[in-house]
Order: sequence, then C-alpha cells, then structure tokens
Amino acid sequence: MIFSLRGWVLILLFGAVGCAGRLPRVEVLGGTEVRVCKVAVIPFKNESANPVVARMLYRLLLSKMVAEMDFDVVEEGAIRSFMMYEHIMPGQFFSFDLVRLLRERTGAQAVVEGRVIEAEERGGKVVLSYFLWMKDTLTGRLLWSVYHRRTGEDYRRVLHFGKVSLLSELADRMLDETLSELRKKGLKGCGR
Amino acid sequence: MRRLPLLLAVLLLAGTLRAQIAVFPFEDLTLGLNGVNFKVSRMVAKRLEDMGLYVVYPEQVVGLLSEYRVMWTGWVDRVTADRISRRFDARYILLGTVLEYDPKRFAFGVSLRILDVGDYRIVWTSRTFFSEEDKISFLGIGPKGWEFFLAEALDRLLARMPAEELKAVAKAPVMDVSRAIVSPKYSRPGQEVVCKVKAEVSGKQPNKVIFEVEKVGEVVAKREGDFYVAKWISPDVEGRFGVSIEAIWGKKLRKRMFVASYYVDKTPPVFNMKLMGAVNIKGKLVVAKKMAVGLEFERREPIKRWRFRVLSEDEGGGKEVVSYVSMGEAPSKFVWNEETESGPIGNGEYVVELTLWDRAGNSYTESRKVYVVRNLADLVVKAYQEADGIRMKIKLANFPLPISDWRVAVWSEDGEIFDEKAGEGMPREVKFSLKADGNRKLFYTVELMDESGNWWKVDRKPLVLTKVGVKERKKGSGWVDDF
Repeated sequence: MIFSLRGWVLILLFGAVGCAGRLPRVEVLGGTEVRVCKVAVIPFKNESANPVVARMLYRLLLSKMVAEMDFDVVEEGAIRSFMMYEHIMPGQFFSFDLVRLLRERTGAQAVVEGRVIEAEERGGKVVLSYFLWMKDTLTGRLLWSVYHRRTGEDYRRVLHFGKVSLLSELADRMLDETLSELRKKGLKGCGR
Repeated sequence: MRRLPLLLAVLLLAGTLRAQIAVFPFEDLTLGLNGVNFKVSRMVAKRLEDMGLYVVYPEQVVGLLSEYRVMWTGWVDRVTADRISRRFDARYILLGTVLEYDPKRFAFGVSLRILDVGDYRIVWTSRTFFSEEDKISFLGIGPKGWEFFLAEALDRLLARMPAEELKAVAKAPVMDVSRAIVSPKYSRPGQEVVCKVKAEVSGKQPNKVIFEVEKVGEVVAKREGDFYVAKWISPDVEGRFGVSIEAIWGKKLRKRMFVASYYVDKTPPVFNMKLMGAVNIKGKLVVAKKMAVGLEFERREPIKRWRFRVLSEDEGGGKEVVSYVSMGEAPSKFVWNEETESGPIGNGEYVVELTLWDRAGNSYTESRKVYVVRNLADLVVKAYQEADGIRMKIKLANFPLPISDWRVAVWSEDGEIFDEKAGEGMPREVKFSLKADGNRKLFYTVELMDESGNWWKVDRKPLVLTKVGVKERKKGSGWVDDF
C-alpha cells in the first residue's frame, strides 16, 4: 500500500471538494415547483471591472431561457421601457412594489435578477462569477438563487483542448450548467 | 420556441403575407456599451436572404431609428417595433449582440433573438462562439482564415433556425402595388376605361389577377410587361367608384388591395354667359370697344379645356373671326379687344361663342349675338361755305349707341383751332362764323360721347367746303372715301 487509509480518505475528500467548487451552488428556497411560464429578466447589476459583462450575461440568459428552457421571456425592450417610466437606474434592484407593478404591466409571473461579482479576461485566462435569483411577482417570495464561479482552465481536458479563453463563452457554459442544475431541481418553462 | 411554427401556420391560413424580417444593426459589446456592428448584422441579413427570407437590411432600419431618435440597437421598445413593422411591413425583428469580435485572436461570439412584433414576444434565439481553440483542428490540418471561421460561425448560428417554417412563410408571396394608372380617370358613360397596375411581387407570381371594378364587376387582368391591365366600359351611373385588385395564388391564398378610383360624369359643365358692359338697345346687345365675357356656373366643376370664338354674321354668317383654345381651368372672365391678327374688326353683328369641356369630356356651348361698335366709320360730315360762315351737316349711320355729348372743332393747317362748338345729344348741324379763305386748308375734329361714357373721335380730317348754290359732288363726301 503506497497510501494509508487516512491518505485515501484525504485524497477522496480533496477531489470531492474540488469538484463541488466547480458546480453552481443552487439554493431552492421558494421552490422550483412553483409553475412559472412568463418571466421578466431584469438587467443585471455589474460589480466587476468589466463594463459589458453584465449585459453579455443578460443577453445570453435571455437567449437560453427561450431556446433551452422554453420560458416565455418578456422582451428586454418592455423591461427597459418600464425602467425608464419608473425612473429605475440599471443595476438597481426592484422593490416588491415595483415587482408587482411589473407583473401588472407585462404579465410576468416571476422576475430574474442578478449580479456579476467578478469578471476578468487577461492573457487568455478568464474568470467569471455571478449570482442569480428568481422571485415570484405575486408574493415576492424568493424561488431560487444560484451562485456560480468558473475560470477558463476549469474546462481544460487534454493539453490546451477544452480550455475556454473567451469571457462570453465562459458565461455561456456557466449558464448551461446553471440551468442544467435548476432543471435537475425541477425548474421548467412553459412546455413543462 | 414551439409557438413559432404555429404562428407561421396561422399567418399563412389567414392569408397574411407579411413575412419580412427587419435586421437591426447589432449591438457590439466589444466596442463598449454603445457599440454597433454593421458588418456582422449585414452578413446575418444576407444569410437570411439566401435562406429565402425577405429581409430589411440594417442600413434601412438605422435610418428609421435615427428618425425616431432611438439610440440603442440591442433592444427595441414596443412602439418602435410597431413603427418599424408598419414602415417595412416586417412581421419580425432580428436583434443581435456581438459578444466577441477579434480577428487577431480568432475570437467571435454573437447572440441573436427574433421578436414577433405582432405580440411583442421573443420567438427564437441563438448564439455561437468560436475562439483560437477552434482554429486549430485536432490533427492540425489548416490553415483556415478568419473569413472562413466567420462563415462557419454564422452557419452554426443559423443552423438551429426553424428554417422550413420560415421558408414556408418566405415562399408565401407578397404583393404590393407600386403604381396604378386609370385612364381616363374621369369618363363618360359608355367610354372605355383602362387601368394599369404595376405590382411588386415577392415570391411566386399569382396564378390569376382580377380587377374588382365597382358598378362593373370582376374584370380579369392581362399581363403587359410589368403591368396588370384591365379594360371596362363606364357604367351609366354618375359618381366615384373604387377599383381593387385581387391576386390569387392557388385555391386558398388571395390578397385584395384597393388600387384606384374612377369617376363617371355625364353632366356637361352648364354655365351662363354674361356679356359685361353690353347695352341692350331695342333687343340688340351692343358692345363697344372691348368685349368682356363672364361665366356663371350652375354647378362649378373643374374645366379641362375651353374655346372662345367670335363668328361674323356678314355674308351669311358663320365665318370665324377669332378663336382661342386652351387647356386647363377656364378664366373667370374673357376679355377681347376686338382685334384679330389682321387688325381691328369692323362694326357689325357677331356671334360670341364659348365652349367648356369638363374632365370627362362633356362639353357645353353658350353663344350670344352682339352688335360690335368699334369706330365712327359711318360718320358723314358735309360742310358748306355760306356768306356768314361755315355750316357742317353731321350724319352718323350704323351706330346704335345713343349719343349724349358732342364737340366739333375746326383747325388750321398749322394746328390752330379756329373755332370749337360743343353740346348735348347728337348734332345734326353745326355752324361756325368763320370765313373761309380759299388758299388755306381747313381741318375738322368730331368727338362724340355715347351714353355709356365712351368717347368716339374723328380727328383732323380735311374739311371739304361746298359753296352754296354749287351742285354737290355725286361721289361720296371726300374724306369718307379716303377712310
């Protein structure tokens, strides 16, 4: 035996922790069993140094929620118009009253909000972390929240193959993982 | 996503042929939050066009965006979307975001979404990325350039588009009328009317095109070059009637469009001719110096053509003295100075005739017989040398206007007035206490004013004196012959 039992346990624990850190951390609070079809995605707050990453993530999430989750997503123009009418600055979170008002105006059963916490793209190395959550527009209850962080290196397989060097591609893959986890937890769109 | 085929099917069944897609200039996040990328948006638009869709290019859209002062291209509010839809007849709007664009690093990423303007919903989305990693094939086979990868990325981007459904819509033809000519636009009952319509057709040409002519019925159109042509006979009903065109594809698909109106008019432009300044003397209309004809319409309508004629009543009548013809609206007053190309007309009876044609070609003619007085051509003056002076006999023939005032003067050859007399009414005889000298020549001037206030004058005519007791010459009265 090269390793003792204690050694094997440590190796397995290290591996498990490493893998766990790469997966999105999904918290289901209000519950994914709440049936939501029409969703309004509110422009994300950007806390990173990259000025465009929040919009990039926003556009990708919109695309995925329509194409892969079969949600009826309220067009961004409707959200932006609502924000202009209500004098809400981009990145500002919606109060419950505003969420209710948005429901009345757009018919959205839920809103998705988010924060980009970290975004870097330097020398082919990329890193991104974000926090997303969904609220019921009728009750204001938090339905689920997701925290996710990844680097481009996390996807490297053999040599340089698989490595992600574009921030947008990293965001795309991370959103795939996020939605996949949410799907596993029971989240579905209009198609059920 | 699943609604798209259903929507398209509904559109087809409803006969709605709008299937254009307006491609917005793409938002380019590599250039910042307000970046715009025309190149990629144009490439995508071209791809969609190649797929058989009817595409409104970003260059066309951007003009409208600036007109509505829209400063962003990544999203569109409902009102702007609707305006664009109406302007371009576009059912869908394609919005795109360039996420990565770096030819040196072989970095490219784009996200697309199609918005159905009808219910303002996202009906399709797609995105694609490629990077340096994709440039290197597993076995290192290459080299492959930027344009190649860009093309490949666009293939990948649009591969998931529900092409068949979109193509089905794209194949559904769109017809729009770009020009419609109705000739004549105003017609009389029984007249042939021709309508030519130039129709722009996207996609399959219609199997049949029918003109629906109000009060006439359906008329099958013939194709003449770029135009669909139909002919019909105007009905015997007055009014404005519509002409629609109906294009028929197969058994179910029809599109009807209003193209033009035509008018049927059988009423001539009836008017009353008013001779201004004419004096009625013993049932005869007498006009002096200038002729002015005014018009009074029973029902005013636009006039297409008019003709003003004066016919002489001499030598059996009907001889045209003057004729003016012109296109367009008739003047409210016709004024003629009673002159022709060969000079002033003489005193006498004439017929003034005015003809008007309306837009449908209905004509109406009104005429009046008038006596025209132009001069004192028939004024006869005879002068007699008497012991106590000169006696002038004045006789005026063919002058129907009553004379209210007169003045007669006798002049020397040098222009010196020897004597002058004036009075009211028509003078028959005027006497001057002037002794004639046989050596010097005398001249006379006769001025008459008619009751309308016109002055008539015979100026500085040689005065031929006849001694009393000497037989008057048989031939004429001297100056009258000269005249």
